[in-house]
Amino acid sequence: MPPIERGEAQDGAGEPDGLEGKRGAGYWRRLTELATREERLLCSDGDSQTISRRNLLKLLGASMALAGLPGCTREPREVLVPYVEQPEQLVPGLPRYYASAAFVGGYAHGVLAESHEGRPIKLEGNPHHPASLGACDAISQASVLSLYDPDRSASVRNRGEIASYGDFQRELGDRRQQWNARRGGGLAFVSGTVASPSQRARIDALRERWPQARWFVHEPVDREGVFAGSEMLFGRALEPRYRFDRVAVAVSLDADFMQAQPGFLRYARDFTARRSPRLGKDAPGAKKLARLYALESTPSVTGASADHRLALPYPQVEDAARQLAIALGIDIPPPLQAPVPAHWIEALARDLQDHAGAALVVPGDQQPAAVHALAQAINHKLGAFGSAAVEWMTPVGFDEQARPLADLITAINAGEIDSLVLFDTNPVYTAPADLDFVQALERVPWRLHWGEYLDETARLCQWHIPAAHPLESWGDTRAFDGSTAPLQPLIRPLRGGRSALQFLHALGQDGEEEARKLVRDYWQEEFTQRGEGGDFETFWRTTLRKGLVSGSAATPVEASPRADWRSSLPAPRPAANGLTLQFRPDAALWDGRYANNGWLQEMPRPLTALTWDNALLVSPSLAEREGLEVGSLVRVTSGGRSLTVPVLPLPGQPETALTLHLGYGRAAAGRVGTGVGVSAYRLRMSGNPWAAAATITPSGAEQTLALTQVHDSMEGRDLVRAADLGEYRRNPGFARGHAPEASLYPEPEPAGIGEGRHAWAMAIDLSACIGCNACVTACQAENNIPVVGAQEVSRGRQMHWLRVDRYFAPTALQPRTTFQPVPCMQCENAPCEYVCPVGATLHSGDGLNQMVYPRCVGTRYCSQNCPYKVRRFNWFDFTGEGARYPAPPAVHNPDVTVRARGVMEKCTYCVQRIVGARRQAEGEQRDIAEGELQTACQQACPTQAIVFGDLARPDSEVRRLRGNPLNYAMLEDRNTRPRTTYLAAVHNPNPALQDEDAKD
Amino acid sequence: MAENPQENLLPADLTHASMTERIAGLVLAPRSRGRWLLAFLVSAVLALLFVLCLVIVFATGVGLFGINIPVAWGFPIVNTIWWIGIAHAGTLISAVLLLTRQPWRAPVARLAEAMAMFAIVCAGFYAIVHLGRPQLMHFLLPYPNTMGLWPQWRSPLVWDFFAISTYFVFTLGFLYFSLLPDFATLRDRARSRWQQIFYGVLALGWRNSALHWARYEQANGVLAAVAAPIVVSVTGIISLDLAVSLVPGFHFPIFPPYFVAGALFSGFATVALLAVVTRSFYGLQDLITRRHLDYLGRMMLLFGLIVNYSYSQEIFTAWYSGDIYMRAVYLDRWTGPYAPAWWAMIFCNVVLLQFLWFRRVRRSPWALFALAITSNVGMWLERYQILFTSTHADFIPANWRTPLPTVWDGLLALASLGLFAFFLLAFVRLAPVVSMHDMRSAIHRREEQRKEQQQEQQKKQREDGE
Repeated sequence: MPPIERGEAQDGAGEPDGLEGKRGAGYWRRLTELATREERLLCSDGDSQTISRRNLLKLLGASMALAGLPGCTREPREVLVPYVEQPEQLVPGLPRYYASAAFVGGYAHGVLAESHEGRPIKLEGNPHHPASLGACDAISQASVLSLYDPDRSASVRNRGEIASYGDFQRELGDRRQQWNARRGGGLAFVSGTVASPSQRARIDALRERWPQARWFVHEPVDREGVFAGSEMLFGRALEPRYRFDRVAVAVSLDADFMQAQPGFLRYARDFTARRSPRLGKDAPGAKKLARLYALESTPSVTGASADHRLALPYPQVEDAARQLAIALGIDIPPPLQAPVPAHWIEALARDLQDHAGAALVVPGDQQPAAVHALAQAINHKLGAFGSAAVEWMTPVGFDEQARPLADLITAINAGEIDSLVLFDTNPVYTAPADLDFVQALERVPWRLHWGEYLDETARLCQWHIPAAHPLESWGDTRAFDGSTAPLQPLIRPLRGGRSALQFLHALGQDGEEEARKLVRDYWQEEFTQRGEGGDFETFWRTTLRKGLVSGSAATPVEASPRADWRSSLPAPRPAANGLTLQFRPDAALWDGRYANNGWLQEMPRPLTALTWDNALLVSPSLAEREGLEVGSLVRVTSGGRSLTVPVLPLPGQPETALTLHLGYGRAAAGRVGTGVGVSAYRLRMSGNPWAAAATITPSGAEQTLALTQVHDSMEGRDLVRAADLGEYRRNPGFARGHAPEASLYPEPEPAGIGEGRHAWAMAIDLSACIGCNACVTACQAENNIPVVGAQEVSRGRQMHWLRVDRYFAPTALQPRTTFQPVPCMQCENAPCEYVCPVGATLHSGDGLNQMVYPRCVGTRYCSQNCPYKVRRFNWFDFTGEGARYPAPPAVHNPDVTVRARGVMEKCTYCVQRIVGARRQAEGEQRDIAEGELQTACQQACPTQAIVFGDLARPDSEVRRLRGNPLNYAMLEDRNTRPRTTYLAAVHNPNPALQDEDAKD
Repeated sequence: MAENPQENLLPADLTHASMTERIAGLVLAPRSRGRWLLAFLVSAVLALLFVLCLVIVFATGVGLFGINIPVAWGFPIVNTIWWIGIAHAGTLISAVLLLTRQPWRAPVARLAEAMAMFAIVCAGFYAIVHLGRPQLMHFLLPYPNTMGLWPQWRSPLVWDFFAISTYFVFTLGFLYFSLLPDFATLRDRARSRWQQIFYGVLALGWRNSALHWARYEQANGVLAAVAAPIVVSVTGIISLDLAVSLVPGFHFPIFPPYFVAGALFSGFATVALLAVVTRSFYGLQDLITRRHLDYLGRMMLLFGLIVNYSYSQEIFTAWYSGDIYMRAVYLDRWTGPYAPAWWAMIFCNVVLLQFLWFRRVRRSPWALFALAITSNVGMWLERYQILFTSTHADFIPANWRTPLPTVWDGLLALASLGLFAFFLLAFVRLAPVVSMHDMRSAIHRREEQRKEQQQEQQKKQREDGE
């Protein structure tokens, strides 16, 4: 594969190891030892291996200039000076929160960044932001780790060598004159989805100035089908926005709207609120629950929480959509095969019709335009447009003038492009394999890259300008519903990057501009144009404080299907023989841009529990037929290209479908992400980016996969308790277990709920948990949990304090998947406590089972005796100098101890937050209010499945839930008396289908 | 066949002088130097490897071992229990057999005591190397400190710590005490100056006075009486580490007696093994006779059968409790990933054990040698399967894992055998391998008996003559 060799060849060119052992005094040796590779590149002229007098003098000069390590990075000087006059409102030790935003696939999630003494350490959802409502996903959470990533590009580069920004501006000035002269002729831009209004304005200005310049959009996880589908149906590109709070029956047509579609946090929140008996309208014990059907091509979080799930390979989803449309009376040509059984379609159609107005069909982003057109036509038919269960708006990030990447290749090959600006995009890695992007790229004489990393594309460009991280940038963003949120920097660019606006500004004119001024100027103008009156300064401050431009959600537009939309529908396709290879964005790495983030690499992927690798997901029956085990290597061939990948049989995968996630196999991601997994892009074609015919050949070799869970069956134990709605209505207390009867022993002393004492407890609603693992990353960020790497994970040594157990019910083909988040149970009768020889784990007065790290000698007896196995041990030094993946010290939460080697650790119920809230309350001479205190997992949870609070308070939610008939404790017969309890899951299957299924 | 035990256990022509000459000669003027040196060098290399492994594990972390969550205890604990078990028979032979005046005890007692001593050292090292932070080991001690912190008395590991350290001190004292008269003998017989000084210092001024002997007998009796409960308590307490927890395969009340029996089984096997090796190495076939081997074999059989009974009781308890987790652990032992270890254990400890019913097997040095090895392997496997099968698949299936031993587990286990051999070889080089004073008293008793018989005969003859 060309990009790898090229990338490495350029990088490895000048490794001046020749300094050691040559002439010269001892400080030369010291320089080589101390200097990073970049610095060495700078202070020697690369290929010269001997030291001449000339070189010696050069080095001498350079070393004086560098004066040690900080030479190449611009450290913000302010932090080195202690506060002489303490800034107002800033209390050292108390965090401050600023509203900003994080991105998933170009769409913004509003966040609140927790900052300690000017150092952002954690992102939390912004409760005011419509895409978040206080929740936060794993990718957004982890972006704070990327901020401190030492592999982020720190310097402007010209042909691989470090250059200055001034050099760049000079050369750009010359170029600009050319572009001006040719009105932008020969100039091309490639970018991802640009949703920011101010950036769009800048881009429009550039376009106006250079009308001949061309703009191309390359988003590896694009939403082409959404826009093409709406064009098919309405004649113009529109973007749907779903209102799940109005939905009683939903059908997912291969849509993972709870994990991987814009607005997923909000959708998961809205829909789960109607699907959990706890959260339902007449809770506790809602008797009506919304129902979800999923027809999907690969198991997803959405499908796992569906009441009925049907596995269909990618191409058959369209046939299923046609079947459904016909059953609902839409007059279209029938599909050539009927993958969905007739009774299924019939029951589904009836259910949808019964709930017309509150019924919704959601097509998947990766599905082709036809599925979108059909699904939205069905929604129209069911009255979802009228009831506003689906609303239409002008697309958030869609650029009508931009052309796809394939057109750029054509233009380059026609010799029409001589300057190429790559704006935060990495097509050398992500471009479809058939485009031969690298070859085309190298034909462009002048190439400029702006991005956070010196990635595969940057290494092939003459100029690379480091980008600032979103947490270092001023800017603005748009969310799935069009809402605009400001992007506020929490820290000066650590590695000297330029923000997007600064870069776009620099393209247009000489001189540098302050990032803040650029975005402020835009909004000042915008504010004036809106003409709402009032003071701009007030507006600006409110916006920044709130993290949202009030009333900026897009206004819905009227949309109705064209009369002749059916004619533009493609003809039904014959069934594909053989296997279909499907591509999916990864739940953690997305399209690969987060590959260098250890938290994300180590986050167990929902459903597979896989970390640090991508695997070809196959159905268990296919694996059995081909003799494949977990980790067997197979050769996948598609479109004449092939790739060797390990296999992971996954229950619920359609028999003829293979799934491979994007985002792996990076050649130049950094020291964490380079070489992890295989790159699915090498099999991806521009014509059919999401699915293609493929064959597999077992290679006989094996590879160990780093799975956090290796046993999939619950073995008939009653760990996760669940029932159907019918049974729940008959017997609401079905989950109640048998706690041991009265004991001769006295009550465990500190565990009792005493007067004036807190009693912390947690309840986890299994009806609401969708298994997305956002809580796991939140916990990791909050509690300084180290990253241990693939090898340690595969040996069962992951450090996550909170894990989400996932079980498949016995039937492999249509499995019921259940999730169970397991933090520490904080048992009142804690088995871990009495066995510790040194008393390093003790009970606190408020019912917490605490770890005293300095006292721990590491016998691990506590873990042996923990029936829930929630304790984690520092087998090696996972955080300090010797760590394989050391976390940058700056990202550590200063309120949480960093644990040493040989020490046991576990979930603390975020004791630092409890103590913080207590201190605050004591200072104000009041009690800790209900809801004032949230654990990190609870805060991040998109579906509010986790409730934490004080059992001693009569009005607390957690106490109320103790009385809920669904409440039960895991392994209660062991008499551990856990403070963490569960609310049993209630499913709502369609009785019509259930009876049918029972007959089968 | 009517047999006179004394007659068979001691060579007929053995006198005080010839016995002392032979045994002291092994130390003061050894003949078979080459073989000893070779064995010593090999074991020294392994002992160095042990030190190296310790240093590396201390410097890197216990993650080097094949352990994880859920199996947080692996080879180090398996080996601790195994070595402690081996140590047990030493104390039992020297103390309990002394108290019960077993006549066959004398020639094997020293070996057993030395073995006990060095096995405890190995066990102790393992208990320390297993800790995540061995440098803080002293937290288990109830030492006065400004924080007012004490060990947690409810934890079996604290009991364990005291049991092992008590046992260590006791065994050291008991061994040294029994060596005192022999050191004095060596001092008196030594030719070279340094030997005289070396043994003179060790002998602590022992002069064979009647008062010395009277005190010696007294103290020895007291120590032996103290030893009996220690034998039962140490392994009993170690088994409580497991039994007190609520892990399904650990939580059996039968564990203390079961573990004591298992410990004695493996301990007698090790004594038998060492006896066979020593007698052929030093040509002591007449002192350590086949009858001694027979007795050792009988002890192995006795305790082996108790162990077998415990296996059946454990299985019965698992079934009878009705506890799904216990039952699942048992099924997993038979069919799960560690099943080969379980079945190999049954083969070694149950099937092969039955050969000891045969007198010929018990009296054959090499058959006994082979069975001693298989018994020790079997006992090791027993601890292995208890530790691994119980925790690798316990309550919550999502946690289940099957960790496998790493190269460090193997190296350290091999090196600990080397360390044991190193200590033992050094010991037999520096101290008499058979207790001379015990032998002397055995010979004395025989002579007394002979005299009595002669007198009786003479009396009879006189009576007949009258």
